[in-house]
Amino acid sequence: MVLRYARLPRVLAGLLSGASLSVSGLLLQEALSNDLASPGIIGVNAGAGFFTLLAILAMPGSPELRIVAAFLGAGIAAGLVLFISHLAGGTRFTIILTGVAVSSLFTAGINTVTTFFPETSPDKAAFTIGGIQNVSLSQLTAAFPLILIGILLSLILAQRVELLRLGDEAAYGVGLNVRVCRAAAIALAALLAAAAVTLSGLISFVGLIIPNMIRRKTLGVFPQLLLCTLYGSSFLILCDLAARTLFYPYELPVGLLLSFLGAPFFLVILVQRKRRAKL
Amino acid sequence: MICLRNVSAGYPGRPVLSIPSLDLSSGIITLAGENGSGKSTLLKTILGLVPHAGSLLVDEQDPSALQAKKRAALLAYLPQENPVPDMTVRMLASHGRFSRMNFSRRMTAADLAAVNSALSLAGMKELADRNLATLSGGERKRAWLAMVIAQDAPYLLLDEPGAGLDVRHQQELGEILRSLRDLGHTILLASHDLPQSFAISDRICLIKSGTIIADGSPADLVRQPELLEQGLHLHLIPAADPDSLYPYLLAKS
Repeated sequence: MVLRYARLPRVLAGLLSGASLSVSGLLLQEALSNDLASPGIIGVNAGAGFFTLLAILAMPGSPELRIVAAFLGAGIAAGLVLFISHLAGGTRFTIILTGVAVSSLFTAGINTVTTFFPETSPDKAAFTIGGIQNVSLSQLTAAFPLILIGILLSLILAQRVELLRLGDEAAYGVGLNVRVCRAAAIALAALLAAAAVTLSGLISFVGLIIPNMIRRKTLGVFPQLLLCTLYGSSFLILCDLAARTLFYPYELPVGLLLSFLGAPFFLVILVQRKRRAKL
Repeated sequence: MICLRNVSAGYPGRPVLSIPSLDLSSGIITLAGENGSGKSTLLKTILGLVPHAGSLLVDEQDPSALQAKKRAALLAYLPQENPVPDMTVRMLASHGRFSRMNFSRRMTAADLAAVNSALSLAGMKELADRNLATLSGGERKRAWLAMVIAQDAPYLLLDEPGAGLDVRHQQELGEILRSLRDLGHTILLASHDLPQSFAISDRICLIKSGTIIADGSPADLVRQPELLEQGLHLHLIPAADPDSLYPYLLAKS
């Protein structure tokens, strides 16, 4: 019973969330040519989370509606970030700053909903910090097909996404429909992040750490996506194991541990970029 | 053949090009002119990147109306600004085959042969497995050129391919372009470097303020120094030694 209803869903949720957040992060980084982009940082997770809570408020017993709402929220957040950052000049840093603002907006929405309607998120901390301890089999059943389809479509799209590394004009020159490719990559990233949010809440930094680790090797996007799936799922399970056992008998939400790991990692990337720019 | 009739093009609120009639058929054709004269815009207009009014046909097809892959099989393009993506020279050159691949995206024997041939032509075969970040500026230019060559399109549109290269590398570039011309490619290149244009071109179209003000072989243009001076805002004098590196002209500001 413990294995079936507690351990197994938790491990499966770790596998699926880790893989989908990592793949989502890699797609965003490639589509936006920005190694600081990730679903947590540019507000996609927060958008998905806010709409998930709205769906729980409207129809509490429907995990399918949660996924649709999460995807809608992730898409709206990504669209808002791209539109506003385009108006603000469209540089790599305006995308991140816009993402931070959009993320704050949706996080405020999440806090408002959980304050006025606490029944939408009985374990508010697990949802906003991110955790996989309370995942049910029905949530997994609803999210699994979308994550599988999202990763398969990402692999199919991989070579096109790789062409974005050439810059828009050169990619156009070799025969890529640049706008469609970029939009498809961002939509897939939103879908994967949304599915992950319905399982693990607002886990941050997985989608930043894993793609950046993998992008240190000179590889095409296809093998990088495969590595993201493998490393992302293993990483989240290991982090969850650590969060469960480090302060036994107390248990940390895995999102908290990831924030401790991810925030310094983000700062290291920032410093490395500055050093590279000076070379 | 690339045929333009009454073509005007530009950006919102900023018309750049106005070309009543221009036919570009074979050989190495240089669009020469000052910065901002409209050279790059003309290349982008032919490619379909900049919208235009009027008739623009490449082998009797409107490139802006073609599917992306069909267009890429007809026109290859090297932009003026090239990033340094994290990939090897061979990976970069292989991307030139994108428009030729089927849905499975696997490189066939023909694709591999085309990539190897492009690397050889660009003089990059020995550096094929090096990361672009480890190459010099001139080597990177040739790596990008290898990608464009691998595309195997009849028309190559190259925007300032010699910019930033020293004289020796410019000469190497000229040799590569002549080899491509001899293989039957039509090469259209934008350049503000007049000596280089005279050294490697079969034909030069001099652009000023978005319109062609002189058009002919280097030998023809050398007989119209007043047009060259008008187009480039330079005083020109013939070279004393016809066997010098730039045998036609020396320019003195």
